[in-house]
Amino acid sequence: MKALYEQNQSDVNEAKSSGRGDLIPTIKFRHCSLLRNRRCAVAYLYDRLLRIRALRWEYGSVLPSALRFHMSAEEMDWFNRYKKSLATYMRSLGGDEGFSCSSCSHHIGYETSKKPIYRSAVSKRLRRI
Amino acid sequence: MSEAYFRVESGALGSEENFLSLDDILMSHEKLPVRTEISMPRLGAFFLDRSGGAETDNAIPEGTKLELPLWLAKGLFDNKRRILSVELPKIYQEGWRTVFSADANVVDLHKMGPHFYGFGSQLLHFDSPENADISHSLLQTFVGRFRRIMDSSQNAYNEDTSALVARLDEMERGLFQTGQKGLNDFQCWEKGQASQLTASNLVQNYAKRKFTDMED
Repeated sequence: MKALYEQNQSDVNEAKSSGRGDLIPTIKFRHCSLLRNRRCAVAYLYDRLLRIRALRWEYGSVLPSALRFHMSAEEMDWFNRYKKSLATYMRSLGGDEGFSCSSCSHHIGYETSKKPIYRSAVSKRLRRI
Repeated sequence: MSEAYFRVESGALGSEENFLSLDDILMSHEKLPVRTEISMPRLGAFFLDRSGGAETDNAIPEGTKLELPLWLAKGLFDNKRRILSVELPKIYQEGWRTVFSADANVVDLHKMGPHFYGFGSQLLHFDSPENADISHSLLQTFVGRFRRIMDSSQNAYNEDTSALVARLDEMERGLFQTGQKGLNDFQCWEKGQASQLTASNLVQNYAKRKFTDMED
């Protein structure tokens, strides 16, 4: 992308200074390619984000380490912040203990690390509802 | 994963594609025949057999016929046709339009360009004089094929559907899958599974995979 941009930059300068207006289609061509590359990159990253958000609903608060390995640092950061916002929201819904929701009533994630606390807390809340 | 993952939908059938939709990105990668109206300097490197050679600054001469992807054609096109003029691909022309109006169900739309409807809808941006006919033909083709898609998607439960979807284009396949999902959910509800808590598919598969890793 850098090469495209630099070629375009030099062509723009040449067009302006020596009045070569016929370079404009070329500049437009390269600009379209740059926009396309950017669109593909952004769409890919956004799709990854949507899938990571789905992971929170499938697996719960703690992700298996194999999955965490494939996420970048920024994605991990986003996941933690999303987790926190979600938890705050859930806490604010009910009376004192809050209301724990899962995305679809017939799916619940198992805890793959050996932490029974989370699972029993969720099932306790579900039983109270 | 399927329940919680909401992908960005295609906007191709509307007035503009969705920037973030992966389906639209794939669709706009398809090529269409194009004619240059003006010489384009220094781009000859991309189209070596067409370029004017080193003397003309490696240019693509005026009047060259190229096949460009939709995103590029859209970017370079403007109303006054200063850079490009666009020709319609064969399947949107008169000949094929009569085939579709004769019997739309027979045609293998997947072979004709897997994004027939989306691409056709975006083609309308290029202000061809045949636009009204093209849009009419797209609509009528869909109307003709819809009945069969709906019937087959609602009646194929727990079967191999590859024969049914082989001749559908991408948009129709999406429709078929929605129909199948509706059918499966309904059957699930009928069996009383809808109110049971079950482990999600992803988690079950992950647990199975982890077990095999330990065995190695």
